[in-house]
Amino acid sequence: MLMFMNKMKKNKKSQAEIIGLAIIVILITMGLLFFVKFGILDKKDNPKGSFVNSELASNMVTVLLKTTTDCKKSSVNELFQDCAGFERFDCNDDGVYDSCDYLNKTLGIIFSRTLEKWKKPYKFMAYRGSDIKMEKSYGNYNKNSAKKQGIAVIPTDMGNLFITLDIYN
Amino acid sequence: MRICSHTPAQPCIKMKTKKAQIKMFETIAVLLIFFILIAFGLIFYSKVQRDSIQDTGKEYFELKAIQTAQLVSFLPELQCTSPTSVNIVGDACFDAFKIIALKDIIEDNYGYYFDLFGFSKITVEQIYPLGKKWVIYNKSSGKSSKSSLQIPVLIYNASSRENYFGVLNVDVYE
Repeated sequence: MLMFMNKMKKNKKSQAEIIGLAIIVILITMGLLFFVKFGILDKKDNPKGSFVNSELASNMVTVLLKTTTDCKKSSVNELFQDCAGFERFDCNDDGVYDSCDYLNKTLGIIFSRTLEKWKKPYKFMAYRGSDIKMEKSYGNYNKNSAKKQGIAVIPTDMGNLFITLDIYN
Repeated sequence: MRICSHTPAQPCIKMKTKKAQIKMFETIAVLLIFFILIAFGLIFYSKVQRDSIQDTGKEYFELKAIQTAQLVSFLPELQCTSPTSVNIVGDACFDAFKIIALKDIIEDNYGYYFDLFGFSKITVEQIYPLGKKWVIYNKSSGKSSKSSLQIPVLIYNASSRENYFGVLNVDVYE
């Protein structure tokens, strides 16, 4: 009888210890779950950053193409058409066709006063097929990193010219 | 095994007391660890909640800046219209004369525009060719923290029929 009682006591003690251990394990698991839920998984994307880059990319291309330049009051769009076509614009009236140079200069000024001033990494390209007419970039960016793109198509004498502006996060 | 079966009563009671004390300490230690774990949990939970509230506040603040920027972008008082039809509105385009006129309109109807823009500063800057900077609306809350947005816009000069490259700056104060 005494031995049976002792056995019962020992069993109860071990049961209580197991329950204690189980509680500790449950608590630690819950803590880990909390950490995973709030610390790792719950990383929300920045709505402002996403909106700003998206607006920047699309507005930049739209506004850029409509901007009037010093070259005979022609727009950037017209300069692109001429530069990608037969190049007939003589901006300085010096007998040299210079729409491409003017375009390069104008875009350089605008980008340096906007995207580069705001330290936004970007890649600007004007291309027709595999022929890259103009390429400008700024900042360190990874080709695979998240970006927002602004795009426009300009019809020229030699086919469509594609304008793309990628703004990286 | 009974240690105190052939010994006098006094040491046997002492042994039992020691055992009970050890058990009591064991229980106290277990309780202590339990409460420490609960305290850690509570601290962690409160920190997570505090961070979450701060993030929500920050997100709301940034959304307010986006809302204000969009409001200004589509403000009929600023938008370009086609010379042939007022119903055709230019995309991301502000009329230079409307920008100049809006400052006076806002001063005359301050309450209406305060409901729209709240504590913020709205400016339009001519970038190419380098030109003027118009402060359309300025109402500071006195707090230093602000959320800023820059959006490229076209500034149309109706008299010279030229389009300038401009930037709409929106600073929303907390």
